Amino acid sequence: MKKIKQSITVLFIFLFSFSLVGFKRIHSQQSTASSSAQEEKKIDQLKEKIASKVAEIQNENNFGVSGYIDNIKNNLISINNDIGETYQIKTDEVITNYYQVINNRRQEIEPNEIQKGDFIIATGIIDGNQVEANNIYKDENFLIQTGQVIEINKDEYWIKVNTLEKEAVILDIETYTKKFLLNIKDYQFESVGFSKIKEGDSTIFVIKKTNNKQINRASAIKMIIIPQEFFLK
Amino acid sequence: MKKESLVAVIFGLLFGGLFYLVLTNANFFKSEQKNFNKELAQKNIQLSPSPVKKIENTIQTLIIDQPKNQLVVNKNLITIKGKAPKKSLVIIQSPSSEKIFENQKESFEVEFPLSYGANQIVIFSYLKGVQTPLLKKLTIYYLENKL
Repeated sequence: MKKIKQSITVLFIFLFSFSLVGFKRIHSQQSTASSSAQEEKKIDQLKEKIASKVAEIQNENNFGVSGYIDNIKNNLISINNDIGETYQIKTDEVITNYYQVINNRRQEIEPNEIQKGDFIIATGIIDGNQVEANNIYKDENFLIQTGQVIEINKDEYWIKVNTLEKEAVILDIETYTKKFLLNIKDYQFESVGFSKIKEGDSTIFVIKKTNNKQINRASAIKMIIIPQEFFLK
Repeated sequence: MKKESLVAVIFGLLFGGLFYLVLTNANFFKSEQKNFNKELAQKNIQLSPSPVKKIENTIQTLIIDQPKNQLVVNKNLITIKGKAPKKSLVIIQSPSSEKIFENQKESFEVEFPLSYGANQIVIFSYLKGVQTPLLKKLTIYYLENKL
């Protein structure tokens, strides 16, 4: 009887220690599997972070140039911008794509559809005033200026503005011209008619620019009128 | 005079002379140090910054920190960050959009919509009572541009 009891005790001890070893093994295998999964997850997260950072840096350092075409010769386009800078744009028959900006999107065009006097945007590798163009976009250019209203012609619907550069510009007010008056109490814009414009008011105006020449008369696309009362202390 | 006495006198004179030299040199160095200190003090007075004039605690210029001019973006919205005089009226104008706000703090940050292609943007800051605004011009290109 004693022997049986002893052997049972030994058996229990043996089973207990065996189960302990087994449990440990399974547990260590599970923890190794879970830790490797966690590591993989971390690596994926790191990869994503690096990719988004690279994209961010690329976006932050992606520049373009624009201006009016002065000359096209072989694979070289010369452009001048509004502030008198000149860029030499090198094009490649295979690499360079040509587009036109129409209705807030781009449309592919043929290289011969761009001509002297056109306003273009060039993107690609920029080194000083040399550009190796990947893409060329034919677009429209606009001019935004400010000045004081010095004359109003109510018969012919034009106003004369003396700009900050001390140049007199006649603005034709068309049916499509958007006119906003600044409400000096709540600083909101109100859509107004021609009659609300007064001599002495300030204006910010937008006109279309067709070339690099000085503009003395143009149709206004948009006007913001700042009443002279705003400037009275 | 004995020979020993003569030697003692010579040594005495020598030591005395040396002692005198040490003393006088020490005074010389002290006076040099004094002069040097004086010069340094004068230099320090000259180098110390002139009293700063107290000016109004606000900037009087318009600064655009973001975005950089001629940047190409692939979204139709851009964040404009900058500094303008407090309480000035800021108007941001492009051919397709405009934004207006009174600048409460010096720094401002606004979202501004873009049209496809070249976006000429002018930021104006009007101070009350001053008809000539502060202004900055930007050209931002919204394009689907692949590098």
